[in-house]
Amino acid sequence: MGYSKELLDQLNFGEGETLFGDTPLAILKAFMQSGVSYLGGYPGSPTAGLIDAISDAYEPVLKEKGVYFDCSGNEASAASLLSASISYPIRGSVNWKIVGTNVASDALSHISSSGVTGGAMIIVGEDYGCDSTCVAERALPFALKSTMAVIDPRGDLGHVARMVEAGFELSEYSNMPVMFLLSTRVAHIRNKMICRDNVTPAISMNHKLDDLITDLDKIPLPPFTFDHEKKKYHERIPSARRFVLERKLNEFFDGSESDMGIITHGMIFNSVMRCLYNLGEANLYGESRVPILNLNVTNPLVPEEIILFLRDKMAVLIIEEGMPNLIEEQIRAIAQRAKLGLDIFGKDILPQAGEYTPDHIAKGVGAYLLKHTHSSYEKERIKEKSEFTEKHKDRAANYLKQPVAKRNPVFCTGCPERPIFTAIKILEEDYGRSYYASDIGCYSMSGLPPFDLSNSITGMGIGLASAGALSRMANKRVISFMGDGTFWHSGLTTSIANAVYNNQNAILIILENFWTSMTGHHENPASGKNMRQEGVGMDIEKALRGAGVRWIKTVDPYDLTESLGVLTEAYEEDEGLRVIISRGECQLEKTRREKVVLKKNIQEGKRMVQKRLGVDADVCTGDHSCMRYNGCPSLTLKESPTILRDDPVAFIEHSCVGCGLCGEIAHAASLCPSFYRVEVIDNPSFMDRIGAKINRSLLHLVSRNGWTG
Amino acid sequence: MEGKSDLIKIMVPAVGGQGGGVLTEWLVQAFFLEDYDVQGISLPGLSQRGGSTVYYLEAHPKPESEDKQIIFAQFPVPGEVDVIISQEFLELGRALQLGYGSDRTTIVTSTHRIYSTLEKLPIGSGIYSDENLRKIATAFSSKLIELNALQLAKDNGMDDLAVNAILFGALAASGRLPLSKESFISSIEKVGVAVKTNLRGFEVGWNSVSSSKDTGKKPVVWETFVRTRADRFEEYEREVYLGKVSRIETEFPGQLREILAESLSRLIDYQDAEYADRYIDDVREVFALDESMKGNLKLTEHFARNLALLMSYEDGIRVAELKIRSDRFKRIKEEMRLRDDQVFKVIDYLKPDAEEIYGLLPNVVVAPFVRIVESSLFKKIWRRKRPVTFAQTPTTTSFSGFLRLWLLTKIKFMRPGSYRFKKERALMDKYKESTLYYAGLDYKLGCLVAGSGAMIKGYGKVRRRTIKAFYRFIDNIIFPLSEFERDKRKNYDITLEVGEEALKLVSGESVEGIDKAEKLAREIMEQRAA
Repeated sequence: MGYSKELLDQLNFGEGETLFGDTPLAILKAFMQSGVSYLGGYPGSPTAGLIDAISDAYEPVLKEKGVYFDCSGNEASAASLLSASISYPIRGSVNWKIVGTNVASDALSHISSSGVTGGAMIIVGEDYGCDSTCVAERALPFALKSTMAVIDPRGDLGHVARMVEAGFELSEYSNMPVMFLLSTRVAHIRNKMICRDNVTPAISMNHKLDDLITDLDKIPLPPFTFDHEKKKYHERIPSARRFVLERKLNEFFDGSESDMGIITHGMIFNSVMRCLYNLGEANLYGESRVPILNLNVTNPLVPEEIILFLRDKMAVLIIEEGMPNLIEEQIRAIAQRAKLGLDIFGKDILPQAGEYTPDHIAKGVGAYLLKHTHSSYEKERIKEKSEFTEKHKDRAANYLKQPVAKRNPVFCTGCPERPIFTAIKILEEDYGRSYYASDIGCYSMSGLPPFDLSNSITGMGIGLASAGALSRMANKRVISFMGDGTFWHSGLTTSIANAVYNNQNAILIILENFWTSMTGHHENPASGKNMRQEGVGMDIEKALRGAGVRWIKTVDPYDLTESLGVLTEAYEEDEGLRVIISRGECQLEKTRREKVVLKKNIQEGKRMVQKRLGVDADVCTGDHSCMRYNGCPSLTLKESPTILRDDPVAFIEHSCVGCGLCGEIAHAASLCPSFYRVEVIDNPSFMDRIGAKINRSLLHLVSRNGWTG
Repeated sequence: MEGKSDLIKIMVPAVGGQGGGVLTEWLVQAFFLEDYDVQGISLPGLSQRGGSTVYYLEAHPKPESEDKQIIFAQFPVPGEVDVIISQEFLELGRALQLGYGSDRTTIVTSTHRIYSTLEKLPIGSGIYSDENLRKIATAFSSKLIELNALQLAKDNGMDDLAVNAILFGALAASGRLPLSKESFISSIEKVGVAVKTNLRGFEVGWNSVSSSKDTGKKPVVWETFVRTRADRFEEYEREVYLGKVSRIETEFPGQLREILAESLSRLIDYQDAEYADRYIDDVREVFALDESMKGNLKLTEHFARNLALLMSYEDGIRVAELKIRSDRFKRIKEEMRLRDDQVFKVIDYLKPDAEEIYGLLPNVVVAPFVRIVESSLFKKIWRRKRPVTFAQTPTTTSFSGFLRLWLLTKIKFMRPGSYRFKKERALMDKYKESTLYYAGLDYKLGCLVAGSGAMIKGYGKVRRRTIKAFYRFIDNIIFPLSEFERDKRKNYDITLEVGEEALKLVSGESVEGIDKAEKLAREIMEQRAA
């Protein structure tokens, strides 16, 4: 995983050279081509890859150029970083996922009010298809209320990079911070792009500022705030419009049907083009029968530009993904103000919800085209083509009587978080169900089968706080889960300080696995180092004590007996906040690291012991109770060895990492004697071999079955 | 404006964490090598944790003019995908169900399964049918290339991730893409991930398609079937077994002989030859009824299977025997892919509960005590939520651990007189009587009852629960419904329907499904009565 040296070397490419890579790398290259001085962000999908690229490039590339990389504590810390650009000509960029904008919004409001001198850019992961833990919301309304410019690029690597560069200029020209929307699909493109020379920032860690400016005008306090408000609407927005117009950031695509037109934005342009191509209305090069205006800048809109496009048209379709459909509403207002008497269609004929894929909009686009097609032959063709996908989808969906089994995400093999949910599941037999207030992290999956342990997910670091009222008003025990990343992100204040302050009766389980795993293993304060690989000493238990928590117990998650004991104790206490820290490193990261060492040690002839679990297929009766407590990917099914049983039996795949949980469960839940653990010794010592030999002869003496181990 | 062009759209349905990203990367590079414009899209997101995921790729020959640029789409469109390469069979089914396959699609798929959590949870089998998947794959493709890439990887000593290279090779051999074999191979070298293994995997995939051998399962020959079972016995028992098998060959029709031969070997191994005879006697009785009713032998088949399983109920002795068997350790060595220069230990997780232990003792000794323990007075004094259990983790490969289990197997002779045996015998009798009684009423009903014996499984409390569910199924569902129908109607349709529904409920996510089933039966009775 991560970015290889070869990939990162491309960051030093100059004019005309071709870079191959993914979108994060292209964006980082564009940052360097724009001469940024600082970067920061909080990892989340789909911007996590960008943090990876920055953190991997920090040591080999960015540091020597004097670029500062802030491993931001949360999105609010990241956003506040942009303050550096308020008074100084310093360019910088921060990033986070869409819901992170909520956390950052306090800082964003203030910085947007003050305005910026140097280019300030926020890369927001616009995840309208909800491919990760998030809600279906867009960033545009945030930008509108705080007056930030918004860039929404087409799905094309080179274009993305050019728009990043243009974004910094736009920000400086208009004094507005710029939001750059990175949708999930665009974030994961792999392609080539043509590079330009890098620009060395004038102010950086290498060339520090000597004098700092005290500029009261920039402080968002009355009376200056009213000036800010005026500046926003009288200076910043108009100048941004000018810039967009002059630099032709929005794109016009001519077409032969001059009285028709489509206005769309960002990556939706690619979906629209493919949709028109499939309908036989365009080719693959963006040449279409219907003229198209693609908005790469969705805020502010430029009325002159819009009017120019609408002026000679009879009917225009606005294809805007997501709600609220602010672009459509603004264009309708512009047309009305300019007294243009044309028909405007939008969400009235297009789907209101959902990601705008080429097939999702086909029917609406077809309906629009039909309104202005007169030849009956053409009509027939459009109708048939626009309905083809829908019909094909229906046929496919209904082809099988029994729908294909669902596959939900699961905790990884050997995951240290899973055992806690197993323990709670076992205790449910004696104590009944509790109220489970979950949070954001891998452990959000505790709400899925086989555990079904989640009554609510309210946001990051908020789980315990979200049960505040119910702790007092429900006859249920409240249990909340929180990861170490979430703890340091905001959980300590929002949930824990709040719980102590209110003497909340609840159990909080902190799953300390030393990594922010869900986003792809980013360091967090619990890792003992930051993303720049500098050591830090932050301690959850000390922080808890400092916050006034008295009942704190630490457990080893793989020791189910211990967890069950401590949980029972917490259940019985029934008073105040009880915090259980379950401490075990993320297995994925641990295995990844240790596998290399293990292999090397074995090759060097060192004695190494490996553990792995197994199931005796002839002892297993196939009741699958173990599955209902476990959910490990390596614990799966296979055909029973006897033809007498139809149902499959349990089986452990070779991917097992030997955490031993299956065996622990068989014990703790009194299931069956089918599980066994194998300890394999590579490069056995002399004693190992002698011992094994003596053992074997003794066994033969007893069993007389020629036992050969 | 323009007809269909040279645009190639490739979709890779996958399970997160199985290396679909690398497969996509190879494809991107292979197209680059032949001077195509390409866009690959990978979607990690939540998928790193074994959820379903999709990779997508579009390629087009470079436009002739410099200022023309291909506008790629970021989403596959149902009905428009040219090639689907699927890492796993269920995920192919999911992609096809969403409409991505059509009569223009070439499918290259591995047929191995990675079971999803929901398939693993039911007490019975929740595995989605391969047959269905094959059906939809045939219906929504122009060409279907299937291979068990995981099996091929294992057969060639490669790890699970080699599945990707094998599929890549199969795709190259399919000739569907306008790329040379050299470009496919160079792309693997260029991407640089486990190059040696993946090149080998590529060749395996290439050969499996270009030579296209029949990899279907061969039916096991009867003689081999018997021999493999006979060979597990020592000399004397072997002869006894073969004698019994030759008897069933003459006495029973071919359809039953594999089940009977398997059961005989299981029961001789479990107790002794006499015990196996007793089994055959019981089966004979059911078989006679089956024949007299001119049934299709389903009744006998169900009964023969489940009675054998009930008679070989897993007690401590049985588990101990299975745990110290020499071929067990050989099997473990194979499954764990151990080499001879490695030393290994096997540690077992055993946790019998009190009943499983005292159950081994003679009935005459235990029965009076159990009567006291199970009395309501005792339960009032001795309040305990969980049953008393004895957890232990013996190292079975060590002398002391082995000896412990070995000694246990030596009390096998006490089994027929044990407390547990008496209880289990009562269950078997109930099962046999019910089968005979209900088959007498109606053949299909008999089959349903005979088949319901399969719900009894598990150890300790799990087994006790399933046994209870079985008794309740017969006494509270089948009995009242059939009584009702015998009086009022000419057939047993309602009993059959409710019975089947009840079996489905019990084999679902919890044995407590029996509660729902009973409720259902009650409701229907009330409805009918009114």
